[in-house]
Amino acid sequence: MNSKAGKITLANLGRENPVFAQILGICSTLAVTNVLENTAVMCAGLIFTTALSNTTVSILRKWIPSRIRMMVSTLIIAFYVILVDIVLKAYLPDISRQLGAYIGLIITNCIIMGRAEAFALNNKPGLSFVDGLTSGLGYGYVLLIIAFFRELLGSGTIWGFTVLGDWWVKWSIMVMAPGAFFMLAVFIWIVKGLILVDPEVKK
Amino acid sequence: MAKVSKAKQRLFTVLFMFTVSAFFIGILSFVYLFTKSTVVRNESLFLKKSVLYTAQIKVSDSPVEIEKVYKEKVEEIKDADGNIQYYSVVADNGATVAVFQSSGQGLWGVIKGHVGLKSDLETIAGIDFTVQTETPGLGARITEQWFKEQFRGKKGELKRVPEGTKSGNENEFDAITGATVTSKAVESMINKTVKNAPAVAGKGVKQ
Amino acid sequence: MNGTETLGVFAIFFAAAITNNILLTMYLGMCSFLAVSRQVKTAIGLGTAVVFVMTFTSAINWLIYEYLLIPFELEYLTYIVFIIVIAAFVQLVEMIIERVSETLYSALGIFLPLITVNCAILGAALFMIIRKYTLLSAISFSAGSGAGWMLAIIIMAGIRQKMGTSKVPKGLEGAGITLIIAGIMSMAFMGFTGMMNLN
Repeated sequence: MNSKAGKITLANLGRENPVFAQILGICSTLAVTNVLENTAVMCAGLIFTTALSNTTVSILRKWIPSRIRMMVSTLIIAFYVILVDIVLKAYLPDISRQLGAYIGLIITNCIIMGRAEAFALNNKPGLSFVDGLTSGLGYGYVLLIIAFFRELLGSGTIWGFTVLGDWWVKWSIMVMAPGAFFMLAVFIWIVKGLILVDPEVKK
Repeated sequence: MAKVSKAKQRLFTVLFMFTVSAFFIGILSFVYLFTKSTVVRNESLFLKKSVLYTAQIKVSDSPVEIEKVYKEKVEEIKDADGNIQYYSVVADNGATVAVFQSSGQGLWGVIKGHVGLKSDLETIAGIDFTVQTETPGLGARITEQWFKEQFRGKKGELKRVPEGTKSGNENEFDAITGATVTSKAVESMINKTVKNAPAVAGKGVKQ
Repeated sequence: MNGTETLGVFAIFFAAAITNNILLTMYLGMCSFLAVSRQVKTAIGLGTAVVFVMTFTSAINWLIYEYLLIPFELEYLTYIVFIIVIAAFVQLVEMIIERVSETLYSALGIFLPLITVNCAILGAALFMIIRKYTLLSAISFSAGSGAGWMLAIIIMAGIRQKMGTSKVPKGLEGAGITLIIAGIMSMAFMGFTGMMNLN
């Protein structure tokens, strides 16, 4: 049982990573990663939502009529996201204001729906929770790395703290849409081209 | 035989969807209502802090202090329906500042904020933004300290200049590179508010 | 007054399709964009489905928001109601197409589940609420956004088809090169910024 959870974890973090292997959750990857702090908040929200929605879908899986399974998954995902939104608005209003624009991006995040369909509907709640959690983590570290570079090159700051002084000409393109596309492409290139090249060679 | 079970299946589907929806929406409604008063209070504090900031009054983040200072220094001037027209604020140096609500259309959505004017209703005492959903890292940078602070003391029909110019002219302000639409929106919304200020405030501000 | 309003509606359509392209400027609808943009034929199919679903669901959602959510102060349920409407609509359309036309179903049917999770559709609906559009403007906006999305995916498919025989570095094959093309397209579309003054 333990090794099954372990296998899922390794897969979601590495070879079957939602972002660079399955190419899911791209919208938010592009939108959020120009500011490191926002990325962290977004990832926390996504990990929470994916883990819980996976678990809930898994608990209900034997009763959901096949015709409406997408609607039910959507409902459950939206439920958790809005729950987070309401709770943040009340107890952490500043973070809520940061995350507010991204709420919609979490609900339609293909990773959450993808895991619900591919895993949670056919697996037990315990494993589904692990799958949701680790998918979120796999997404998280990729985004944090991309965000680190985008913010550094584009604004000269890391987490809002100026690191590169006035001598650095900001690569404004990094903060905008094209920069996001390029950074993600480079990331995938490095991972696929250098790291995941040989099945036996694992970094 | 097959027809009956199909109808039954459909019925179950509809019932299931309805029940599950009702269940989850029910929980949401409960949490929403439970936190409503806290959310409203947070909003009110946020707005009050913004008004004080616009008039260049320094307060800490303590809710108690914000409420106290606001009560002492701010008078809400309302119209016949009870809507706030503007705020009459006693600034730190004793002068009166009139703080007006301002709004404009940004790139992603509406931008709302406050514009504070000195008693001549022309010189800007300060500005602040309360609602904006602009691009983080670009348009959203209008909430950064340096951007807002540069407006203190500006006067006349505002004009954008490239970021970094730090112009000495009293009607020029640094825009944000890469956020043309947002910078334009800010320019026009402040100009509009200043233009309408005398009409909103009536015949000048109380001394 | 009528003349300027018509112009305004057209401007909104144009802005949504070109200058504020929902995919290349607002980043919405990426997953299906990257996955289904290999051939122009499939791109046209998916694009059409997106335009159709986007326009109709936005109209329905606008009506629900205006006549149900606002009067009963249920705005906090906006996300959940909108997404359920979209999911239900797509499900309904899928069932109808399956009944009505086998050929249409085999051509279009597979795309429909993909559309439910297309963030562009929910995104467009939310934008029209934030920007407080009238019903006519909202329909124009959604149709424009859909058209813009369709335009982007067709261009992408065209480029990728042309590149079919080009040598792409191994690590970039598939998603990587698509993202770079998207980045360049996005830069190109940035040239349209400021064309439409919506103030």
